[in-house]
Amino acid sequence: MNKKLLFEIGVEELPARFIPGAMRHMAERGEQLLSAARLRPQSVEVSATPRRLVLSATVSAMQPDQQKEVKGPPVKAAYDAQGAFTRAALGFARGQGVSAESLYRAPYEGGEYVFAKVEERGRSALEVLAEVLPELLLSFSFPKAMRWASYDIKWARPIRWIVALLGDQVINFEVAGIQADRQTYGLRFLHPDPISVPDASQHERLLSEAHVILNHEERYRTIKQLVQEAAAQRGGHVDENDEALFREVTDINEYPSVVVGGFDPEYLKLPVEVIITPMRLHQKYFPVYQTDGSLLPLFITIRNGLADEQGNVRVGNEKVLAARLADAAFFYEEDRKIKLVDRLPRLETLVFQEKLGTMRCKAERLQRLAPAICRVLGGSAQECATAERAALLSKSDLVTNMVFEFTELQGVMGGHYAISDGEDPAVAKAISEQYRPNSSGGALPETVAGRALALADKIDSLTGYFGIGSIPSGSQDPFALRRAALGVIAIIKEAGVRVALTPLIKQAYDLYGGDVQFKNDRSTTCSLLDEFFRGRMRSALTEDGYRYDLVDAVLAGGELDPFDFHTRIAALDRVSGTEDFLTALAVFNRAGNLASKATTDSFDRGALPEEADQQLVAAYENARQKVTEALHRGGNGNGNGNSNGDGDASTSNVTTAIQALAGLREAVDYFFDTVLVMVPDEKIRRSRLALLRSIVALFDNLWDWSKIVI
Amino acid sequence: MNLQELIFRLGHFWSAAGCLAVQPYDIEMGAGTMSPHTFLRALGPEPWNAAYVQPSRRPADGRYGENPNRLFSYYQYQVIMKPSPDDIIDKYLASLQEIGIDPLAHDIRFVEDNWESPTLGAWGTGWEVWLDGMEITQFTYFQQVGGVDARPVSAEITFGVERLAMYLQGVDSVYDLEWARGIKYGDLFHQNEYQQSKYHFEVSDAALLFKLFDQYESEAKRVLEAGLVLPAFDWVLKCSHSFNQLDARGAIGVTERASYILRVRNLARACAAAYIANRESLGYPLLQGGVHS
Repeated sequence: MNKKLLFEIGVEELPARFIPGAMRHMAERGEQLLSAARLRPQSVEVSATPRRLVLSATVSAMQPDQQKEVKGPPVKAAYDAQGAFTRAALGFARGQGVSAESLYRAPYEGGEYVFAKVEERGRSALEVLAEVLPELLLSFSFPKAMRWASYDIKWARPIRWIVALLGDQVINFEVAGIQADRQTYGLRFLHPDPISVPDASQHERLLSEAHVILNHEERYRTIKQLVQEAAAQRGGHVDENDEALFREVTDINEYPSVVVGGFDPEYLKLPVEVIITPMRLHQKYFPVYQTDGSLLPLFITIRNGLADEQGNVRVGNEKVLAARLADAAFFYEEDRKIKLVDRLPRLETLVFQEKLGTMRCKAERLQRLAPAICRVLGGSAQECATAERAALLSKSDLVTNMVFEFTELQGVMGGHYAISDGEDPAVAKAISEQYRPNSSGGALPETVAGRALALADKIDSLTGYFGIGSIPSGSQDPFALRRAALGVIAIIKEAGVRVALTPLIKQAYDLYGGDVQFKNDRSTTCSLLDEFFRGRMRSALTEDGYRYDLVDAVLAGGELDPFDFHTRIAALDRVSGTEDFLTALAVFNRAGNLASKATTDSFDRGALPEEADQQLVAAYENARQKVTEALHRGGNGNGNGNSNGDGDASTSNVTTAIQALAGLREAVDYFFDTVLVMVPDEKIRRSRLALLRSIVALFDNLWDWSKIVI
Repeated sequence: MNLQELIFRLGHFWSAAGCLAVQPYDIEMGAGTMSPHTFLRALGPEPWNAAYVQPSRRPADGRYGENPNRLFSYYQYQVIMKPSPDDIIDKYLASLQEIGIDPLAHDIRFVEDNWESPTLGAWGTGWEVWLDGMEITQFTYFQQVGGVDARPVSAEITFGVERLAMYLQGVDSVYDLEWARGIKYGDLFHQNEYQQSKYHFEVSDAALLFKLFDQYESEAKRVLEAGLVLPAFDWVLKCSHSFNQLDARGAIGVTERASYILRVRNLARACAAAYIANRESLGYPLLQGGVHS
């Protein structure tokens, strides 16, 4: 028989950012624990509001009975010389509640033992859940956990009630001084008194009567609809793709009602980011746009409770926003009185990182690095000059009032202030793009100078931090270096140009100059970053859906060049199922076995006596020419000289190369079928091994074939 | 409701809720948390429930009396309860009702905000509480104080008195607040705001303040070595305040800042350890139920 399980952990207001992870954990771990306890969970569902995490499921009312095999004493100790049971064996049988006659012998870890078959009666779910649910509750881990009062538990926020019901029965246990019961709570202010839940299946309905929309998706949809309707009624719309804000608002409300407020249209003269940043990030308001993308002097907010009939909530929020916009307008006015270029001396007092010097030094390094990267990206002289100027001014907005108050606006404000200073709009654009992408999948820089500056900023930071030995490990990444590396990868992929990173890292390292005491020397820093970048590439490519063995094959070698990695994995992914590919792989495996024994790859054609030798040499030379042509004919055409081989691993070139490699099949098979490689004559042996090694070397132009799993 | 009535009502409420109505501490400080009533009492196993107004001064926040919201000197209403009661949020919300804020007519939110004080070596988890979008309270469960794990955990509630009063009186400038009938906040304090701002930004003697900082620091250490944690802590407060004065004067560079903060933190940690040892040697008098119900 099945019963409905309901488990609610009632808490003081959870941080919104914890909720998605907590819901995932509760669903996964909950299902795992219930299955392990043999309660056969079905339709496990998890919901959450700021004040509760709830799991519901259908479970068996009883564990099934099960037969267990219990190991007893070794055979030697179980029987006496006459073959009768010893006291040890009799005691074991009695202890397990079985007759001695039912004991049987079986091997176990090299010895032989007696065993008993024991019937274990299933326990009631009520009893089992009293152990499983506290274990589930204690298994959560949060980005920041806390203690409260004198309890010995750490959780996201203090736990205040627990509902644990199996059908209509309470599951009995206690955690952190709280006895699990059937009493839940509705919306804080409207329903301060406990609500008794008679049966698990009535929980959600009772909560909805007490002004709590428990279902997470329903609350999300309700909010989206309320906000969109309110915007439409006023002739505007909200950014319906602002998923982060819709999700966050879902996680800070139990019972959403919409409130629309306004602000003085005078403020619409400010840059749009200056208006929407305090709205979205600080106050969780939705800005309202017109069809042409401009703002209306309105905001939409969600109140946690009933409609704001008296207008208090609207008026209060309007006041708060007015004060924030007044501050912003004041800052904007003040900041524009000092040009970005005149702020450079102030940057001397702003530390980038204690060991890595000031922001002034950073701006000066970027002034050299950004134009160099711009050239690698194929930028024109004009674009490189833009990157250089933008780099010089890139950090000046950090000492403006606006960025001091709204850190999120770094870069963006620099762009606005550059325009107001009369800088070239291209310079302003590059400055505003320097911190992109702000998040995984976030907008990338659109201009060549912007890409150059964004790359320079990140490469400079990565090199500096790795140089002083501040390297991310485990969950520790306080300077967001993983994100920086992923940003580098994304920008280069988008740019569609080969960029060898190692020479740029070397240059960045040298630009730090003698003032910085590095812990790691230049080549150590380069190799640490090489490994780090390949690790980030691995996650980026795996996330793109590529097979892990193909990803490993591509990342095992080659220059540290995100664009090249992307092209090669795309090509490998396309060809990996083809017949030529499988043939080529067979050739590689056959030649590869012995090639590793070679001490050189230069062979003496004249020393090879057999016809099969000569045929293989000819096939090799033919293949080599084709592979070289295929992989080195393309090139990205900008002739920047940055990478040593400007070859192009596009799919069509790779297909041609693989055809050439597959073409070795006949000669390789004939060779192995007719000659013996490991002959006593050293000269012949060495030449044959070297020939095989040369063949394998052709394959190495593409990727590490040994990593590929078929 | 005028400002002094607001303070009375909060006092009555928290006193009825089991808090001692202790009095403001008489040394300059930046926040009520630094008072020995909170910082030291939050340490160790003894229970402690207290509520008080703490005059607070933050030299860098002075605005010559020209900004309607920012002040050199202001008042915090501070509540500390150890161990944190299970119904602490209900108590807090009831205190809002006591001063005339009906939760059903407003939007009250608990927005994650984890307090941290690098100078005190202290941090906690909690919220800033929003009333219709405006922050009115800081609510913290202390996790560490002076580098020591807080066991049991205290709940700290800090009301910004002026902020709350402005909301209740519906005024947009702090100087328009009615302190008592017929007397405005500006009448009482505008000159102080102006003069203190002028002093701290233009007139104060940085060389003297640096000297004072050093002297306060060595005196704190000397007194600690003599085994007298309470007077030592007074010197730590003086030290912290002279740091704030130097900071306002722009006399401390960004790079030096961290090392000054560290010096104060080291003193605060030493005091925390000494205070715990001192209470232990006294046999934790407040554990004997001697305080109040």
